Amino acid sequence: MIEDDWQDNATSLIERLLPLTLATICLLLEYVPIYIGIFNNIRPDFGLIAIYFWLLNRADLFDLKSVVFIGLLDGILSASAFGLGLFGYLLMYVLMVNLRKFLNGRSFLVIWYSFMALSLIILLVKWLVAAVYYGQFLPLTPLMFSYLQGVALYPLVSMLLIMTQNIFVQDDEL
Amino acid sequence: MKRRRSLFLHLTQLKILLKKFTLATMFVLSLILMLMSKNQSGLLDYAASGGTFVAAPIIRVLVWPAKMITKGYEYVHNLWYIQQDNELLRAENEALHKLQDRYKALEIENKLLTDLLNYVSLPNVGFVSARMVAEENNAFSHAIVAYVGDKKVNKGDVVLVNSSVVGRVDKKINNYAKVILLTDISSKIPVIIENTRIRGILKGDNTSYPKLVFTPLDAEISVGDRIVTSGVSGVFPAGLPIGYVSSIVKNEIKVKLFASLEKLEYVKIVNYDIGGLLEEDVDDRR
Repeated sequence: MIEDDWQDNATSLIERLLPLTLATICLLLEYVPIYIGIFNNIRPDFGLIAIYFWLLNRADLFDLKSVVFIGLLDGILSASAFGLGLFGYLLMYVLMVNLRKFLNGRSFLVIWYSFMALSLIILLVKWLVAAVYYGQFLPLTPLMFSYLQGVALYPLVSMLLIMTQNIFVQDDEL
Repeated sequence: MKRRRSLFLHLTQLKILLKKFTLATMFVLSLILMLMSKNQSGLLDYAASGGTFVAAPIIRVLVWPAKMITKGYEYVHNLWYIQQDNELLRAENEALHKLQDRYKALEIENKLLTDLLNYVSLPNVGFVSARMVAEENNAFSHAIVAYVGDKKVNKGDVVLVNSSVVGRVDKKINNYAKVILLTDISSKIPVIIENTRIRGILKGDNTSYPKLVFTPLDAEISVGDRIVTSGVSGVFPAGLPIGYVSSIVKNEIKVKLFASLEKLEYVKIVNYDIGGLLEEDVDDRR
């Protein structure tokens, strides 16, 4: 009986922490050295992909606090302006809070298109804020390249996130 | 009792108000953090110190699968280009043999001239070889984090790969050093064109090719000119190789770095202690 309680508690804890943990891993992936030299090592904003995914699918477990945590962690790790990442993720949160009702239950294609549009808006706003911060416009090519990579990889990353969730969370809870 | 209750009510109201404006507060917080970052606040350094201490080991674990993928990719890539590479290597080897002969002659000549001028070379420099544990290469910044252990590393130390400059240490966080690469938008270092002795500033713009700016308008600069540090700022010693002019389009001079920043694995962090030399010089004059 006690063992069952312990198991239930552990499962519940894993379920509650899973979105934040996976979003953190996604963010850290942006900083993993890949040593290949392909595409000048420019990579997509995995953190943004994860935030969009969890705000859409598990908003009950991934709230504003989680977004702020991911944003602050990005600020700590990044060499760019502290707070710039947080600003972008908060923007995604605002947009998703307003669009969640519309996007819930829609086909994957609609969700993907919506990510395409939202991430473009966020990257451009971040680009403008960065321009004010540095006092000059940053080159758009790497930004667009990173954006296209993010859009192209969204189906794969979301599939991996769903698979991981299915492994850790019991069927009846889904 | 009444006063207590009124205070409690006020606090509850304040809490509700804060809850209402949490999101707005967070946006304001992000802007405040950016301003603090601009002013290089010590508080942010302290926060970064703790965060990097926790995150860097996790990234080191994540490197393992990344390395496996890289090895696989490189194996296929190398197989694909093996014949082409072989031909290139033969040609390069021949050229290197010729250069070796010339180098030996120049070495002797250099020694003779050094003796003749009674030239005092730079003092022995201390260096740390460090492994890269994290890299950031996106539209907003170009930096790496290297593991230096308990070795002495200071802000501003030069970071080299195969004797050519790749960046400078921004800060040491516990056992890690955050290195700002030459391609980062915040990187600006004084340089000189080796053959013409024209001075300028090498400025990163978050692309792979930093720009050469503040050169005289009538300066004769051509593609292929070697760029080295000028030592003007007093942070970098003079003569360290950086790269060569790769293109000149409408007065925009782009520089290709000698070191391949995409394939960094180990870096050499060198402390030339020029800051110390300058301070000693000032003390002597006093």
